[in-house]
Amino acid sequence: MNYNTQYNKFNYKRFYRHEQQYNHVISLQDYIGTDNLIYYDIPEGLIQDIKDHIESFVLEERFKVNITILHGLESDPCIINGEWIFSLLHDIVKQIEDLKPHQLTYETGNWNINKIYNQWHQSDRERINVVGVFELIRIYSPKMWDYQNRSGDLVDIDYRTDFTPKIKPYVFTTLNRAPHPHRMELFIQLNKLGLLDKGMCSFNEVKPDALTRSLTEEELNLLPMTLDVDLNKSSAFDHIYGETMPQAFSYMEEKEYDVVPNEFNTFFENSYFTLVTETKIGILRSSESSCTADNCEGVCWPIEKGLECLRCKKINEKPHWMKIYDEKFITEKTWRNMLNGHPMVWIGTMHTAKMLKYLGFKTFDTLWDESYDDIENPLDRFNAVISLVDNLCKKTDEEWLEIQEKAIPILYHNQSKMLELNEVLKIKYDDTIDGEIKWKTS
Amino acid sequence: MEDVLRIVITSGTNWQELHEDIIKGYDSVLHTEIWLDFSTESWFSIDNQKINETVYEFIHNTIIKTGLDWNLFTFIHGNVYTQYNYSKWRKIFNVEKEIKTAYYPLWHKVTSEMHLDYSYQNEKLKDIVRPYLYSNLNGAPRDHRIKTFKYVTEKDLLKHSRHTFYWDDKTLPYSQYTLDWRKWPRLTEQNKHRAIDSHRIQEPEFYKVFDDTYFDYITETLTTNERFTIELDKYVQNPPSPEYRQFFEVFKTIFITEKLWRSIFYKRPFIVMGNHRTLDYLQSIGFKTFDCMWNEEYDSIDSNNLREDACLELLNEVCNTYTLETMHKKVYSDEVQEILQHNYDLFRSLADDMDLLDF
Repeated sequence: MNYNTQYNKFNYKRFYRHEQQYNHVISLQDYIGTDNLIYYDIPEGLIQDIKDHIESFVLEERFKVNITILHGLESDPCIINGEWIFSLLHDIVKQIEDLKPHQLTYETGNWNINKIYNQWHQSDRERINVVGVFELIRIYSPKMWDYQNRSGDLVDIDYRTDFTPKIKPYVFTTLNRAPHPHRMELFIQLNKLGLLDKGMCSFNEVKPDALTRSLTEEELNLLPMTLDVDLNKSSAFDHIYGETMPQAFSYMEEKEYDVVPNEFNTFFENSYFTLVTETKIGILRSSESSCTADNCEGVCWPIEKGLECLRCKKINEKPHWMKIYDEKFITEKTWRNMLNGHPMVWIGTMHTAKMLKYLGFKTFDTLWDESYDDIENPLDRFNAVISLVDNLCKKTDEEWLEIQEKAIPILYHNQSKMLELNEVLKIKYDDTIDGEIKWKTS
Repeated sequence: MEDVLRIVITSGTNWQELHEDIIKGYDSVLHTEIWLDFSTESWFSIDNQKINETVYEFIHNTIIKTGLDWNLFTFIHGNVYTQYNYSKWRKIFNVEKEIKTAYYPLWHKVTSEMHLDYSYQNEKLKDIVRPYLYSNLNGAPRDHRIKTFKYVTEKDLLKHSRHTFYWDDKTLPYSQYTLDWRKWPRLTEQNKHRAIDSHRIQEPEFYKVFDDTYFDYITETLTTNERFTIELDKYVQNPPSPEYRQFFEVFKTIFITEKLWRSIFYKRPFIVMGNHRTLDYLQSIGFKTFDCMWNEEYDSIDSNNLREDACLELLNEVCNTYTLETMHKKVYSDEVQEILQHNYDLFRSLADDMDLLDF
C-alpha cells in the first residue's frame, strides 16, 4: 500500500509519511557507548528522543510507529541501574502516552533473550517485543550487502565454491584474536595434546588466564602464535578486520575493492574443519565471574545456586539480576564458514549447533559426534570438544576424503542458505513457548 | 477523479440499500476505486434501519454483498482515529480481509470553504472592551450540553456569556429558518435544532455573539463516541460476543466539527468540551492552544464524565478570575495574538492542502 498516495487524497498531506518511516531504529550504543560491557546508567536522552520521534507523528498516526532498539552486535546482558534493560524499556512505554508495549522492540545478539525476558516479565502487563538477532550474519550474506567502496560502488564478496575432497596439510584451523579464557584454555589443551602442529592455529593476543589454570611461563613463551599477521606492522585487529573483513567495521569506504578478497580461503583450502572459538561460551564477561575463593583465580559459570567456579567449584554469590542470566551468541566466525563451506566444531555457547539447525542450517552430526553441544557446563563442553578434536586429528587421509565427500551436501546446503538470505535471522517470542525455543531440526 | 466512484454516506443514508447504490454506480471500465465516504460522522456503530453492526462490520458486509473486488474500496470516516480503530477491529474480530481506510477532515475543509472569514473582527475590536467573556452555542440537546446548561445556570455563569440552548428556547433572534422551525417538514420539538444550518452565511446576530465575547466555550458534537449510552448497553452490558465489548473499550474517537474549526478561523481562544485529547491532536498537527490563558489539563482526562466536569469547572474558574478588562488585555497580549494568527494561518494552509471532495 502506498501510504503517501492514499493520504494525499484525503488528508493534510504534509503530515503523512511513507510506510517505512513508521519503523524507527535506534542504536543503543549511541546512548550507552562501548566502554562498558554490562552495567550502564540510564542512557541520557533516550526517552526524550523516542518521545520526540513519536510526537513528530500526527496523533492518529502514532499507533503505526514501531521503535526498535538495536543491540544486536553484542549478547552481553544490558543492566541499567542494577536492573535488566527490560525495566527501562517498560518505563519508556509507561512514560510515553502514545507508545504501547507492542510498538517497542529490543534486539540483542543473545538468541535466548526471550527466555530471560519471560522469566523477568512474570505479570499480566503487555509485553514488549524482545528479539534475539543474528546481526553479524549480515557480514557474510551477499544479498544483504549494501557496502560501498571509496568510489561509492557496491562491492561483492569472494567466497569458496569448490568443495572437492582432497588431502590437506592440516586437520583444522582455529583463529583466535581476543584472549578470552576459553581461547587460552584451548591453547593449553592443544599444546598439551601436541595438536598445535595439526592445525593452522593463531593466538594473536595473550592473557595468562585460562579456564582451568593460568598459563605457565613456558606456555607464555610460545605466544603469541600468529599465522600471516605481521604484528609489528599494524595491530592484529587492524590487519584481520581492516583488510579481510572491512565490511564488519566500516572500513569499506576506505577501500577500493570491487570484491572483498577471501583472505580466509587459504585456511579453508588447507584444513578439513574449523575449530570455531566463538566469542562466548556462557560465562559472564565481568569481574563478577572471578572466583572469590582464596588463592583461586578461576572463572565462574552461572548455575541455579550461584556462580560456580570452574576450578575450585566454590559457589559464589550471583548479583540479583543474574538469577535469570542466560547468554547464547553466534557470530560472524560461524557465518563465515557457512558461506565458505567449511565444516565446524564449536567452542561456543550451549546449543549452538541446535540453534543453527533450528535456523535451517545443517551441522555435522553425520560426520562426527556433536553431542558436546548439549553439555551445559562450559568446561565439560569444552573438554568434550577437545576430545573430539583429538579424535579427528587421528583420522587418516583416506578417512578425511570420505568425510569430505559426506560433507559436500551439508556445505552446499549451508552456502546456498547464506546466498539466499535477504534479511537478518531473528528469534522472536513466537519461536518460543513461554520463552523456551520450540526446537525443531532441519 | 473520474476513475473514482464516490459514494457519499451520511446519517440519513438508506443503509439497507447501500450495496445496491454501489453496484448501480460502479462501472468496471470507468472506475478503479470506490470511496465509501462517511466523513461527515465518526460513528462506532450503525444502529438504525434495523442494522446493529459496528461501522466497519457494516462496511465489510456491504462490500461482500456487492461481490466486488476488495481492493477497489476505501472507507473514509470523520473520526481522527479511523485507521487505528480499523486495525483494532480487524485484530479483535480476526478479520483477514482489508480495505484501505482514511480519515478525512471534512469539517475543516467545509469551514474553510463555506464559512465567512470573520477573523478581521479581532483586529477591528482591539480597542473595545466587550460586554461578555465567552460564547456558548448549543443546538442539539446532547447530554454534555444539557449538563453545561445546568451547570452554568447553577453557577450563575450565563451572565458572562452570549449563549444559545436551543432546546430550551434560549436562542438568538434568528430569522424564520430557525425560529419558524414548525414550518419545516419532519421537524418536531425534539429535533427542531435541525433547522440550524451551520454551513451558510448566518444572520448578523450570530456574528455579534463573537463581537460581544472574548473566547468560545465549545460544546463539541461529541465528548464520547456517538450514541454512547445506547452503545454501552448494546456492546458493553449485553454484547453479542465478548469481542464487541473489547472493541468498544479500545475504540477511540476524536471528532472535530465546524464548531471548533470556526474558533480557529475566527481567531478566537477556546475551551473545548470534546473528545479526549482533542487539544493534543490539534497540537500534533501544529496548532497552538491556550495554556497561557488557563489550565488545559482537562484535555488529558480519559474519563468522559470527569473531563466534562473539568471543562465546566475551568469555565467557572475563568469567569471568576478574569474581568472583562483583564480578559481583553490577555486576549490582546502579543502572546495570545501570536497564537491566534499562527492558528489562523495554519488553518488556511492546511485547508488549501486538502483536496476538496466536492461537497
